Order: sequence, then C-alpha cells, then structure tokens
Amino acid sequence: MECKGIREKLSAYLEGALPSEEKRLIEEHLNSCQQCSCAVEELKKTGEFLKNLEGVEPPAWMTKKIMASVRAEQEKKRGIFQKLFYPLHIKVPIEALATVLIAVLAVYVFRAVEPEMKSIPVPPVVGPITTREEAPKPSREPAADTLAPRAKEAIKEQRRSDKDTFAPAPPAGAFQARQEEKSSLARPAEQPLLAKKRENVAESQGELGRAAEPLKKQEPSELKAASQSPLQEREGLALSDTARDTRERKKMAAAPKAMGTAAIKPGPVQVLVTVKDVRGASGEVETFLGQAGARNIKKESHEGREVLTAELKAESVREFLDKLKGVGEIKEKPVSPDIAEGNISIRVEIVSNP
Amino acid sequence: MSNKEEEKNRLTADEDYELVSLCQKGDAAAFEALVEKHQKKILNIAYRMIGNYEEACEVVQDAFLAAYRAVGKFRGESRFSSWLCAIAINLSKNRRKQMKIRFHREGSSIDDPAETEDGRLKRDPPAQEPSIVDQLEKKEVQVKVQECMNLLDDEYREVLVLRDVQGFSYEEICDILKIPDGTVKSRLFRARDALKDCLKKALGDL
Repeated sequence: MECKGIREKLSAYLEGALPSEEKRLIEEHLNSCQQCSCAVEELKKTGEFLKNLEGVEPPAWMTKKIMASVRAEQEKKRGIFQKLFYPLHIKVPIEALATVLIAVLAVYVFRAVEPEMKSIPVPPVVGPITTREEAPKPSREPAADTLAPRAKEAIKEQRRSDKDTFAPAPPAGAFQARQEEKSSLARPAEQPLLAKKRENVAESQGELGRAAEPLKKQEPSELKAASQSPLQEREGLALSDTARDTRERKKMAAAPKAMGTAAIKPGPVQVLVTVKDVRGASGEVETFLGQAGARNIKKESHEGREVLTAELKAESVREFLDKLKGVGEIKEKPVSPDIAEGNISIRVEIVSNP
Repeated sequence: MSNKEEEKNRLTADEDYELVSLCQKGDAAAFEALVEKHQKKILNIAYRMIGNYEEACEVVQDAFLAAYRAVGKFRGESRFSSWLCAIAINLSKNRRKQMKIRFHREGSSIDDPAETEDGRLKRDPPAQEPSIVDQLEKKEVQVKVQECMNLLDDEYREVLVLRDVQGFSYEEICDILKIPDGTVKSRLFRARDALKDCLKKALGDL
C-alpha cells in the first residue's frame, strides 16, 4: 500500500518537484524498499532513453517544397489582390454581376406589382364598356355611311323610275317598309336584293332613321355610365345588366341589318350559353377560344354569369360554335358566320342553369 | 501587474521577431529563413508525435504553410517557435486521427508502426534473459521506445515529447499547449510511469 503511494510520486521526486518533507519520506522508503528503488532506476533509464532518442533530419527537399507551396499561396493572394483592386480585372465580373442584379430586381419589381395589378378591378370592368362603345359602332357606322350612298342611289333610282311609273303612296310605302323590315330580319341575306327594288326607297329612308335612333338612345345612357365613379359604375353595371341585355339584343337585331346592308365588316357574334357550372364552363370556353386562335380574349365576370369577348377568324367560328354546343345549351344562335371573312368579334355569355 | 508585464516582455523578446515582421510584410525570403531555422525541431516533434517519418514530413509542410497563411494574425503574444510548435502538434494529432481511421478501414497495416496497439507488443517473445537490452541494437531500443510512446494518449505523449525528448522548459510547454504548469507536470509524471511500464514489458528489465 505504501509502495504504491510512493511509486506514484517517484517521477515528481526525480524532477525535484516535491516539498522537502515528502522528499525525505520517499528517500527513507527507497533505502528500505528494494522494489521501489528499482522503480526509480527504471524511471531514470526511461528518461535517458527518451533523451537519447536520435533526432531525425529533415529531407533535403523539405525547405524547397515548403517554399514552393508558400510561393504558390503568395501568387494566389496576389491574384485575389489584383482582382479586387485592378479595374480591368474586375470589370467583366462586375458587369456580369450587375446584369444578374438587374434581372433579379426586375423580377422582384414585377412580382411586387403583379398582385396590385390583379387587385385593380377597373380595367377589366371599363374594358368591356369601351368595347361595347367601339365594337358595335364600326359595324353600325359603316352601315350608316354605306347606307347614305345607297339611299342616294335609291333616290336617284326612284327619280328615274318616277319618270316611268308612279311612286307609291307614302303611307302605303311606310307600311310596306315595315313589312319588308320584318322579312329582312328573318332573311338578312336577301336584304341586298330587296334594297335594289324600286319600292324600297321609303324603306331605306326608314332604315336610316332607325339606324340613327338606337345610337341616340344608347349614347346618353352610356355617357351617364361613364361619368359614374368606379364604385357606382360597378353597381350600375350590376343593375343595368338587364338593361344592357335588352340593348345587346337590340344591337343583335340591328346587326343583321347592318351586315345585310354593309356586308363588309361583320357585327359581333353573340352566343348565350346556359350551363350548370359557370366558372368551369368559362374556363372551357376560354380554352376553346385559345384553340381556335382567338385574339384579345377578355373576360368579365358578374354574379352568376361570365362574359367572354374575343376576336376570332371567320373560318374558325363554326368550329368554335360546334365545340360550344358541348359545353352547354346554346340559347341564342349567332348569325351565320359564313358570309364574312377576316376577323369576327365574338361575345359569349355564360349563365347558370336555374 | 509588473510581473505580468515582465512576462510579456520576456515572451515578446523573440529572436525571430524581425524575420516574423518581415514575413508579415510579405517577404518570402524571411519566411524561408524561418523554415530553415525551425524545420528540424518541428519535424522531430511531429515524428515523435506520429511515429512515422513520411507522415511527419507532410505534417511539417502543412504546419509551415498554415503558419505562413496565419502569420498576419500572429501578434507576438508567445514566441514564434512556440506558436509554430503548437500548430505542428495540433496538425500531428489530427494526422494521427486520420491514420487511425485509415487503419480501421484498411485493416492491419505493416507500414504503420504508429498502430501497433497492444497486439504487436504482446506477440514479441517474452524476455528470457535479464539484460536483453544489451543484446538489442541501439536502434531497436529506439523503435521500442517510439512504439511505447505511440501507445500513450495524445495529451501524455505531447508533454513527454516536448519535455523529455525536445527538452523544452515547463514555461515553454505551458505556452505551447496553453495548459497550466501543474497540469503539465502531472501529465508528464504519469506519462513517464506509463512509458516505463510499457518499456519494461517490451524490453524485459531495463
């Protein structure tokens, strides 16, 4: 027991690191204990072995190799230094970085603005109004314009015919005109033929008046709508939906006449589709429009109904209408698109099935 | 206070001070002089820490390169030589760890004298005559000593290498290893005892 305690301190004893009291105790013990004095000797020898361990020489290439890597490091450091402070070296990377930054910024700005653009309700609401004002007009105005020379021609003809035959009495002419109008509504393609008839003078005059009449009727109400504030406008739109419906129908009724007389630019083709799922159907119709190669597709949604307007090539109208039949029940058949060429503006109204 | 200042002055009284400050200005030649001066000592420390000459050479190169990279941060709080030794010892320890991992992966390797563990020593024929040390060549004894050192833990081996092999003062060892004087001594005495026991097993009576 004592030996174990002594041996633990032998190293310190040899080092001379023990206080004198302990040192004396150990010396006393070593004198009496053979084993422990042996251990001291062994420790001394161990120390000697360690001290006598031969040193190893570094290989001749050591310094060179170290310095080679050090110089390589130096080159690398200088390279970084030059890149940082010499403008020519940094120019290209900075330009590249700037380009990337601008691109990222552009995307960021676009992303930041996009939701706002979506949240603004005015453009999609105002849009259809302007199209309503603009789209029917080109069809009506040329109709009026072309009507004017036609009317003149008719008058001329009438004068010529006046020489040969008697002009029909005005009331009778007016009556006939009304009858002719009805027939022209039913058969718009026959209109040009009818227009050539001599007794059509009165009718063409009447037509002029009627063509101008809806314009007059419509314009004040639309001006009123335009002057309304956006909020009111929305309400107004919702309220005036039915009113507009009737207006649209009037236009539709006027359209064949215009087409019949003008036949240069076709009026908008209007379709009313009754479906169960308005939203889904509008998506379908939109894809159909896309497939048919339609342009300027505009989408309006109101409570329980969706209105899609687009410009469609005349050739693809029939195909599109055939597809529409698959979506839901088509209530209002459009005017036969066969007569026209070029682009036709089409308006599809989707209402839910009650 | 004055004691601390004195100590600081003593520590900063570094013979390598000029060369080091030249190095910090980017003078490669000054660094070369430092390499020439210290490489042998560093190599020997690494060699005794690792027990393999080739590995030790690589560690020395790594140590000098690391010192060159970090010389800008060297503030002269300890001597350059101590700082360099600390780098070398740390790298040596890391290298030993890597070697151990490699050893475990590859199985037993004859080329690896550092990894003798207990097996190889036990396989030696038991000492039959008391003075076997005399019969062994001096070099063989040295190999045995190195093998026994390899068996010690890093913390014991490093104090043994620095104190008994390299002859550093306690003060320097404290400076290099950043441990208190008492810890250095207690570790050293334990290391010596352990080494003595190991050598006794390996060589018979010393």
